[in-house]
Amino acid sequence: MQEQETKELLKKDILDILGYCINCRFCLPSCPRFDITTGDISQGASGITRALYYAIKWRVADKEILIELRDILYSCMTCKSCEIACKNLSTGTKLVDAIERARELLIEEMIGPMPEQKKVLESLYKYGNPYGIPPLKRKIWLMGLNVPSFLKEVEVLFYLGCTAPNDLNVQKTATGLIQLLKKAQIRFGILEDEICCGYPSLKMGERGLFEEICEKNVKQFKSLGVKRIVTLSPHCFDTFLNRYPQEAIQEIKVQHYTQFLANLIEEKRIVFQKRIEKSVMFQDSCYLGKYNNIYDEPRKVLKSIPGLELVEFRKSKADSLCCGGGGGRMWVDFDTETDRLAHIRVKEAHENGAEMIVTACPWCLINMIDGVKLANVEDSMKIRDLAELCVEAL
Amino acid sequence: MAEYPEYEPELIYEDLRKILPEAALSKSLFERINNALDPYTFASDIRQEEVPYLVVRPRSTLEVSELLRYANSKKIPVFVRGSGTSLQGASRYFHKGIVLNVSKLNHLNIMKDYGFVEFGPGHRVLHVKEQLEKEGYFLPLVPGSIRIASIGGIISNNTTAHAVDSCMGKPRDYILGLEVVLPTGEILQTGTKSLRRAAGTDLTHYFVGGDGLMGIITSIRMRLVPSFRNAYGVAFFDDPIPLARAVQRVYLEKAPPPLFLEFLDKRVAQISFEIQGLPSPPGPLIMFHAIGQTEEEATYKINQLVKVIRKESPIEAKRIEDIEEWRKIWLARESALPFICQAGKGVFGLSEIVSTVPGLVDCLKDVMNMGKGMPTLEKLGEPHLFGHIGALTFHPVFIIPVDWPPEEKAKVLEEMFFKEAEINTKYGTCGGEWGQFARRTPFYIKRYGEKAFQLVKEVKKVFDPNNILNPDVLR
Repeated sequence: MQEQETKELLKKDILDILGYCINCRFCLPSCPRFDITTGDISQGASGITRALYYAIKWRVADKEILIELRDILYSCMTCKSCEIACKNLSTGTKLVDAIERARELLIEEMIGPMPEQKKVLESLYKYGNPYGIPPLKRKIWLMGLNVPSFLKEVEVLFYLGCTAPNDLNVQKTATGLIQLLKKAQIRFGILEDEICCGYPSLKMGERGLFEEICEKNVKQFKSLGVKRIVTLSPHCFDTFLNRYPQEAIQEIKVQHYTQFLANLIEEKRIVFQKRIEKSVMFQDSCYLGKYNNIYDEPRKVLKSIPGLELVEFRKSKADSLCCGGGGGRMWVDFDTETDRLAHIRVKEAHENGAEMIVTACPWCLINMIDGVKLANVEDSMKIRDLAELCVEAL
Repeated sequence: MAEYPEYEPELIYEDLRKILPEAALSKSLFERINNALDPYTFASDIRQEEVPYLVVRPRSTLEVSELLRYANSKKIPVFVRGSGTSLQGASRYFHKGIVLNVSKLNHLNIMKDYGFVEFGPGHRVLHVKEQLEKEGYFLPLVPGSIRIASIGGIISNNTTAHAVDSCMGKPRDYILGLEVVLPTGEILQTGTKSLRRAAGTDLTHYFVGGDGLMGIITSIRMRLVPSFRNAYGVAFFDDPIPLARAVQRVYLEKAPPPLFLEFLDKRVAQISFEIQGLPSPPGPLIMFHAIGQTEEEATYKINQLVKVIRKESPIEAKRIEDIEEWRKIWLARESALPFICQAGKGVFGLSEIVSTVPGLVDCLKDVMNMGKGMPTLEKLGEPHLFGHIGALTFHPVFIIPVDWPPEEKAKVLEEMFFKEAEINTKYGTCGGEWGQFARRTPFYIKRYGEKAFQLVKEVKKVFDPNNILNPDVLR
């Protein structure tokens, strides 16, 4: 009975949100997903949400059609470009909110998530991370780095996130940031038994699991007296800042590391000595930029590196092209796509003569590295996370 | 309503697979739904029985021809679709049929030697504009929906949208020739490859501004227009009436016609200026943009406009020299509709009212009072007003609360189009931006008479004997 009520409430929520949409389609040219499919309107932005709207209105029950709807809904990278276009050009419809609610509904209906994502949720439930890494193995890569554990009197909780234990390149980012924090003499620590922020469960529609994770984290933060969190990933940053209950998180200052670094540079606690004579393009992370308007801080950091030339992508900042990794898309591919966004990005950088793309997000980093391989420009194009590049410039 | 035989979608799909590439066909329910919506479905959802059989995206004129031969032989309606942004209802279908989506008809060749550009109908207008600008040319098509509107629809409507007709003319003035597929499948070439356009009968004119009734445009040849120099101005008034008189003066005193001359009423101006971080305007305003072959010519024109406008005692009228200031003012104009919508927490009903020069002041008053006496419009209060006043066009906007029931929203649209027809009839005008039929068919019959409407239908029949092409436009 309660299950049915939940479903009906979700449906009502979705229809209420989509009541603002007038099918003007101004969002469609902004949708990165639409750009890499074959031109079907239902594969992007309001095409996705109109499919959802009529599926609810007409109470579609045919399993095959619901599977088609699932594929459409889970293909969205939740980059928010559609919402920004709608806010600037039309009625301000919250399309991504509707998509997220719809994923919750599909989970309730036992249609979602995508088969590949089921393992992710199972791992989150079992191990507290999406990559199937048992807790004991999660910190192996940190051995020898002499990273302090977070204690009550410590200034900053450095929240590593789940991707570093699973990816060597992201480990370099985290290691770099640890070096920078030490260099600036920041009293920081990491959690002894860090678990995921819950982002994958939230974006895949597993609301119950997200709330469980959220509760565990909040409890831990409170018991340790955390006052400030600096995250490696923009996804963790946004989740803590905007998706955790405000009353639970309001006394904690949450920052992404680019904000923290920009402050350290401004206060001259970090000064770059080495010149990096490279033409560099910065890949805006959607969850930093489009979600939280953080565009200037990473650029400030880059501009403070001597010799570095910062060149902007044709689409940057609020107009930036997603790397393709948000909204649960790190774990699933769709055969309706004819290209990869990171590949498009790398090609543009290469054509512009850039020698390096700098990211500030673990998933952007991973995707861009793949993009370089796809574009076959490994010799001339380097991908670095901002933290790692900063260490090179010390 | 015309009647057509019913078919099983799967049968049509199987038939078409034999004559068209499979990649051109989509039978997905959600794709078919999305290709049947228009910007007014907030007031009336489509019904399941209106979902098209199939969506077809041909990549060539020959594929269009094959599809039409098939559809004509089976008497299946074919709905031609670009981006579906028609504001007079032309992209809403009431029959089952095949949607021919033109998005893959997207060739583009800028032929500088010939002085023309050839392009397919499926491009978004903005894309063609950007390509031409790279080569130093101007696209004389400037719809508000430039990011999304398909260029084929703009040509079929013969609209330059925001631009002042007496400066820029209409698409028909630039189009040298077309390639068209008739509803019976034959391929037709019209017009010329010369910059010297045809005198006498030229079938091009049947299709440009033909509301998509007689054939499917698959290629457009358009004269290249070299880019020009620009100058800008703005004038603030304390009341809309002297503002309208100032625009009349522009015509009556033979001031140089501007490319754009836009109007925002006080409420709209204040909302949209605030969003752009501009000082709050003291009252309604006009902004204008003049063009010339040289800086001097453009500046001369803008100064002439300022001089004439000042005769109606505006609070301020000036040439804008700071391009950043102009950019912000223009952005304020462009963001007017979204921000009044969002401020009102609703969706919008927009109409298009056209005045004559002598009628401009009275017409403005009529537009301001448009809701009076209309039971549903009256509940929404005075409309927000903006428009292309230099092109003698007003766009009154009613913000419809999103939580109103669909029937109530539908009444708003009904009353709005009724009033639009009434005012345009009073001034002896007609819409200059959107097409003449669909929701506007009753106005057309009233304005031009039953005989005129019968003639339109007869002409369509000559081209389309089985009435399969866009039949719901003439509803």
